[in-house]
Amino acid sequence: MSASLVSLEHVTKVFASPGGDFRAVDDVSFDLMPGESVGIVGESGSGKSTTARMIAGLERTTEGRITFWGEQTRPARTAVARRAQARRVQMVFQDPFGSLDPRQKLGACLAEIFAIHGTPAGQSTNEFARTLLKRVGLEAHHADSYPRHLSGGQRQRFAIARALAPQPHLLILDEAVSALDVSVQAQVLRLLSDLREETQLAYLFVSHDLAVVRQICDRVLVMRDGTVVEEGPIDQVLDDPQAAYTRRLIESVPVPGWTPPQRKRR
Amino acid sequence: MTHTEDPRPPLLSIRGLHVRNRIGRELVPVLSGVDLDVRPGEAVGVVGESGSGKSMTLRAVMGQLPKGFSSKGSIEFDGEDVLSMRPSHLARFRSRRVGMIYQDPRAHINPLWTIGDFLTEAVVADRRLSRREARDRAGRLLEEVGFRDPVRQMKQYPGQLSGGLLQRVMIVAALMPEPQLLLADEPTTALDVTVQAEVMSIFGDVIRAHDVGLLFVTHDLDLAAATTDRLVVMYAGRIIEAGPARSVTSTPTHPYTSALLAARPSLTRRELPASIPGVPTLASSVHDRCAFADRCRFVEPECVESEPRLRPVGDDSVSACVRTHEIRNRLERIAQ
Amino acid sequence: MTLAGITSALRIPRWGRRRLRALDPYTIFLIVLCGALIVMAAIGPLVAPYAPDSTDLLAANQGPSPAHLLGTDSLGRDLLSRILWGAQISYAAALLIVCISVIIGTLLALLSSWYGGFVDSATSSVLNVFIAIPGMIVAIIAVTVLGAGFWAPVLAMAFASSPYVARVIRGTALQERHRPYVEALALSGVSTVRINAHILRGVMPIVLAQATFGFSVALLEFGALSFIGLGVQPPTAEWGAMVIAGRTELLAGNPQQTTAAGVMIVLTVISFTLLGERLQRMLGASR
Repeated sequence: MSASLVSLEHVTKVFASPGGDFRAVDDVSFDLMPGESVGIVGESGSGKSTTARMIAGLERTTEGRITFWGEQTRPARTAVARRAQARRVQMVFQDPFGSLDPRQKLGACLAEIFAIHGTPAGQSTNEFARTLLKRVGLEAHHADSYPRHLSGGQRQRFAIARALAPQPHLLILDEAVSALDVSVQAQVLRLLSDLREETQLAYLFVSHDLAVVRQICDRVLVMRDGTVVEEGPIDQVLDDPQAAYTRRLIESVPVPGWTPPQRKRR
Repeated sequence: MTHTEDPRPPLLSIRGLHVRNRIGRELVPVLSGVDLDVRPGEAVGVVGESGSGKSMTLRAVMGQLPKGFSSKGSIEFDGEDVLSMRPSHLARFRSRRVGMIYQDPRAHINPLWTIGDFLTEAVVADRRLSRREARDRAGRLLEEVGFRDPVRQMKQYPGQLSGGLLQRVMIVAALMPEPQLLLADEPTTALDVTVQAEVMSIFGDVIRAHDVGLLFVTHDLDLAAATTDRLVVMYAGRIIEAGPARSVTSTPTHPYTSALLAARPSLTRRELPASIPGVPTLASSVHDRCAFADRCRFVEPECVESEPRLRPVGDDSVSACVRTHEIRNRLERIAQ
Repeated sequence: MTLAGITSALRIPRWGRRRLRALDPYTIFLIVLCGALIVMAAIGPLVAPYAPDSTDLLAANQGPSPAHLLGTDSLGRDLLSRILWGAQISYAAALLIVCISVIIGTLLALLSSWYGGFVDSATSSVLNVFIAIPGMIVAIIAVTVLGAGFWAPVLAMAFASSPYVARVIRGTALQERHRPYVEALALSGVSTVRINAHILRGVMPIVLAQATFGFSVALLEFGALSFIGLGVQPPTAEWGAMVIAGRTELLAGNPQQTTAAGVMIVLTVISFTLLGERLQRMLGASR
């Protein structure tokens, strides 16, 4: 469908290694509509991060195609292609410490991006920087700070601001709140929710945390060992799971009053 | 039998623990006055966010404070004070009577030794068991934690096991010298959620079967409530609430606990969790007032007059909130 | 006379002051010492009491005296002046060698770490081959082919040390290149060159430590070349040459020429080596 923002068609990713090939992603297909918020949940080795990285253009597919508005995309080789890709998809990474250059002031980081992608009509570099910072709940004076002066939550908010700077259509969040304290995580989730209401941004939310995904996503894909095990509207999948694996995942999440499922005795 | 009826004296008794870090010329407080008991066979959970001091408390119990950190107070284990133990004595304490399980098993296991060697080396070197006896015990414990074929699997190397299996090996390693107390620092945080559930289930079975005490540090309130009898909530280097696990999570007595409970995203409803304004306070920023006062919605002038002490609430709980009796019902409602 | 007092008197900017406060007295001493040596090399000729090649045979082989603070050599030339003039040549040679080798080495390291894979392994293998060839041999060959003097040995040694520098920096460059922020920058559409500028900033501390180390090594090796007669030629004053030239006088009981030049070489090499080692340790500890 050309109406979809991103479309994956039978995408497979195989990592070759001397010890044997590893099928990280195996024949995955789905569509993401403009403005939609889709979650991919799974445990380690499920292939959720690899899928997200292929959509972002950080990895190339081994088989299958990924299209943006019907046009096939590949990992960008030239500067021009990279610029175009940056305007389509941006990503917020898991590590709030490592994803920022520790030697660069936040304002300079944003300015570097504006230099490539420009600013929305009528706004100067400083104005747009201030707008972005305020939108994610930071102050204008933070532009003069280095990443080490900010807390983990603030760094992650800045990472969101930086991701918004090229004005992309899709924001991929790869375990973006997993490293944050619970109270800080709640702040960032609220920010992401508000942002979506203000803009037409689509989200691809990769996480191992089902509860978080419930708060942010409309639809969810459950992945295991590289394949999509179940897919559907978030309420449906979490309240009435069809796949046994999905049920097992839901049962394993500590919730109020939870006890670990009894071990199966041999 | 509930543990308040257990007539044996506490296994571990921390009183007035203060830990400070020397930065430059200043002594920066990291823990401010921690009091904590673990009775034999009791599982106590210590819950908090970053900077709460929960991990530092465990390190103090092990006598493993980082360089430059000084401590005051007492940590009594079976009548002896860990903080004033001689190094040789401390080494024996750590290898025989207390077992520690860390967050990342791979960082604490020698990749070049087989599992069997890893498990038996310490007890054999200590001359407490012969090699054959040690292997037998290791085999039995491995079976208890779910290894189907311990004899064969003991010949494997750590690199061949998954994180979940390796963490089970760590539990066995901690149990080998038949310790009286287990310390666990976020033992399941690095594991997948289904694996976490299995390992937590094993934990529960094991501590009951071996009648060991457990001090379990985590940031996950629901996880702690599932496996522990008592919960201790830490904030800014101090304890702000303690009580039976189920009641702390259902009827909290401190606004921070209540807010922390409310900040959890729900698995069953689409309702954005309420956030706590600001960032977690550090122990070094607290002076003569309630540590949570700046972020608390129930703050009153009395909260900033002086630092509140832990006061008893009901039979079994303590709380550092001066207003706890007034606001009890509202705290419960927020936490739902 | 506190550090704070001195730094504010010298009008050192606040960021510099903060970094200085983090240093222990030993490191500060080393920095001051090396700084003084560099100043000596820079302004030496201006303050030298005599011209370096003005002979005075009547005053030959004299010990230290008010007229000649370090004494004279076998041709009556003032040793202090020759030391000061020689400093310039020795230091200039060492500085050039270091600068050229560091620039080439860093570029190679960045290229190797950025592309990784085949490029990296091929480059590393080639570099390893060149590292196995001692720099001195390359320099001697170059001088034999191109003639003795200043430039042949300097360039030869510069190119000969580049592979070693590249290898040292490559490790840190690889570490930096695989940090998440590099991927984030690429995703933002930043050009490869700009991203490598970021990586370079991250690698800079190791580069500086390596440069400081390399300075003393280069000085010693250039002096050694002159020692065997393949560097600068007499009457140009150069420390290594002075050491060898004073050898016969040493046996005759006039050690001042050899000693003065020798002490200066040793002092420079030790100071800069210790400083380089200190920097490396400080920066290694901060990782």
